[in-house]
Amino acid sequence: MNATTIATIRNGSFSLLGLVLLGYALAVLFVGRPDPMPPWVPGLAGALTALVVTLISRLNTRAAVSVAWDELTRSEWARSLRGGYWMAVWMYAAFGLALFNDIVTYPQAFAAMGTLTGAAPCLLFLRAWIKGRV
Amino acid sequence: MGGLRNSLKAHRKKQDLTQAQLAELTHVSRKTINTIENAVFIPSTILSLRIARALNTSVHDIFALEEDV
Repeated sequence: MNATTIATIRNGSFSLLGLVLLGYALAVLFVGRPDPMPPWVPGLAGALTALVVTLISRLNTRAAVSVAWDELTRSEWARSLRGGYWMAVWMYAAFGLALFNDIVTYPQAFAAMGTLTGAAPCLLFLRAWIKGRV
Repeated sequence: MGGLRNSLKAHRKKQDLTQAQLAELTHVSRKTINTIENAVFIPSTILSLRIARALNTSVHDIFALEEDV
């Protein structure tokens, strides 16, 4: 597998994970319950992504993996993690207000914030991918 | 990104290399070369040195501070 294929599989896996987690969080908010679908879905999606990313790194040559994870990619991933951190911080304010106004319940907020925190860096990385930076 | 100018594209073309070929020589992706040429991404010192070596020139010839240009 060449570096481009490795990068495409990795980017696709992170993107899919971000979308699954975002979908779960939106379902929590719109359906109005903390388990709008089986609650193991986000965890399984995360575990499968970790497995795919690890396997494509282990099963390919070090040179190809190194190019796939070159310094631009590592920089964009770090930027996505930083953005995800601040989104998670702002979620406390947003969900605090929503809880204060009885728009969501504590179990809903717990489920939505947890999955959104996981989704944020993956979706920011997806944005970098769409912009052609990874 | 402000602060740094580069003439990577000109140096690469002078050596008759494509972005993909330069990427291969420097062990990075073509996107990395592309984003450096477009001044979107500032490479590390190590990558700058690798690029300069691949192009048979010095880092100073490729990269310069904006105030020095």
